[in-house]
Amino acid sequence: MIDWQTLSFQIVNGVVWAMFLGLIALGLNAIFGLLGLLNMAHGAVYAVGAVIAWYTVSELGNFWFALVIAPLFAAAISVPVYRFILRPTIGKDMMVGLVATSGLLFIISDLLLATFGGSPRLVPPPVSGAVGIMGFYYPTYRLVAAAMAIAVLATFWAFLRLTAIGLWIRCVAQSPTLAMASGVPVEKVYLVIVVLSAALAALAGVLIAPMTMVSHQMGLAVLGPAFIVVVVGGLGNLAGAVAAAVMMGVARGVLSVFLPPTYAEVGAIVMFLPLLLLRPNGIFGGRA
Amino acid sequence: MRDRAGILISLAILLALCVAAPVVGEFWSGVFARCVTWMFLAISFTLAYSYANIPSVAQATVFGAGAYAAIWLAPTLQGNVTLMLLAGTVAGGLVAAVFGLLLLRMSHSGAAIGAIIFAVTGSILGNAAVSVTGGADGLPLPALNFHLLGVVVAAGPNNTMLVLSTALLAILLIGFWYVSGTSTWRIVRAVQQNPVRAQVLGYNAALFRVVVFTVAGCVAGLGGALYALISRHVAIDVVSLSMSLKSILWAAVGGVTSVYGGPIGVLLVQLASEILARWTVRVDLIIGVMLVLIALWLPQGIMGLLKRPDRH
Repeated sequence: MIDWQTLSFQIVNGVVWAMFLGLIALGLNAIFGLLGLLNMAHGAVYAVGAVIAWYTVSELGNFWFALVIAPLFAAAISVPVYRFILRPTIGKDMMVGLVATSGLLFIISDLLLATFGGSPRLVPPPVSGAVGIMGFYYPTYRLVAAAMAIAVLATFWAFLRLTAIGLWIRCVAQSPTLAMASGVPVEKVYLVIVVLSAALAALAGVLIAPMTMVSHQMGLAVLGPAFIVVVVGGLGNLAGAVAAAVMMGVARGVLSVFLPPTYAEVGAIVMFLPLLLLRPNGIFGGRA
Repeated sequence: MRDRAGILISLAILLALCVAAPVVGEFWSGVFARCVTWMFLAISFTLAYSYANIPSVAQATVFGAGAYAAIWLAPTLQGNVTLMLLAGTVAGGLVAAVFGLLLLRMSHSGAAIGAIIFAVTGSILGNAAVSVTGGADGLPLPALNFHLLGVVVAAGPNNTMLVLSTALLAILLIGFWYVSGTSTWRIVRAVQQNPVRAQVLGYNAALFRVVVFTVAGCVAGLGGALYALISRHVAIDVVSLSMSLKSILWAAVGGVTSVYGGPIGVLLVQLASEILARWTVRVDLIIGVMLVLIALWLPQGIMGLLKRPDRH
């Protein structure tokens, strides 16, 4: 017998999680689509965001400051990282970028361990209470955070569609050589994408912090699902990644009604394998 | 073309390990023995990436399959080391064949991420199935009388196991050195460089790639079985994504374009980690910096320093 209330709760929960996964995958996808780098350090930047949220609450007593501090911090650090580490690997064998970003992953994770410690910690939700939806109560903070994630995704989409830099980004995604020949400052576009990706990952980390245990290794757990939605959504296809994240989140939610959480997680991941076989370029194919 | 310098360097390293082990003591013998099992894993990644053209970020899953097969079957095989190693090799080969058939259908980048899916799924499932895998605590090697070709051997991180694993690796490397001079290997190289062109010339490119990937799996599986015998214990962290990443890093440090780079990479990274761990707890930080520097200044790894144009 299906418990419809639990099923509805899990579907809503899946969609909410998908918004954060989409936020993480967005940066991962943009870096892969434009720079051709499989950024293994992306999850670690997300963990940095969550750790900053914990420190902000502990030291300043106000969670909302973290929404500004973490993305700014990640963006500031990403500039020298791009200039001295990522930039020299662009255009080289995929393995070179993988080694460089894996090195970054080791560095960031170890620095987090050194400063934050190895014990997972809790960040109290800044908004308490629950909202009644379809006969069940859902934590208000999760809805607020999901709404913020949607707003960020929409803003990013508008940025791509309505601004000159957005146009340049789309040009470079299609053909860096042609874009360069047309006068597009490709280097600047790469830098903007790296900075935005880092800021988005850190922001996702802040928003998720009150919903999970914050730890220095939390980035590794999210890396697998984020890569999956990037591929399933279509490498370089930003909207596709968000759609794939929603599919994965809902699938995990629905499966968790019938299966233990671990198997639901595996089921949601494995579900995408046939899609990858049938459509190697992702279900939405192409680039943004 | 056969890489004479590469095989000589690799064999010299393996010989040096065996000679040094009795001198440096039991602890280091154990470290060397584990390093040799990881060399199988690094070589396996190089074969998959550079010769099957499949960027497999799941080689540790294959390695783990070999390790678990050896532990699960040890009581049935009554401690017969030859059969346990064979079981690990076959298990690795089977898992790799399945992965290969699926990954081959994907684009190059898609295959890398497809492999991440395998690694993540394997890790989550392994953690969930505690009764089968032992989860994070792992499974111990059953207490049996282990024997190899009628001779009793002591499983564990000791000189005997070091010599055994080193001998097997030496045979593997010499075998590869021999095969790399044959016409069949030229076809493998042709397929790796341009599968479409090889297909047009009448070679079954997909078959060659799957076979090479399966052989890479057998190598990882054999390494896994040796690891189980040496560590006397296998936990689910051997199939984790971070273990697969380590195999990539070892291969990249040694030089991912040469099978002989794996042993160098493992030795450099692991010995550096062991030595650094005596001075600082920030080993990962130092390894991370090392990896970044290698990616920036030595993108073809240590073996890249020896490489001349058009060696193959």
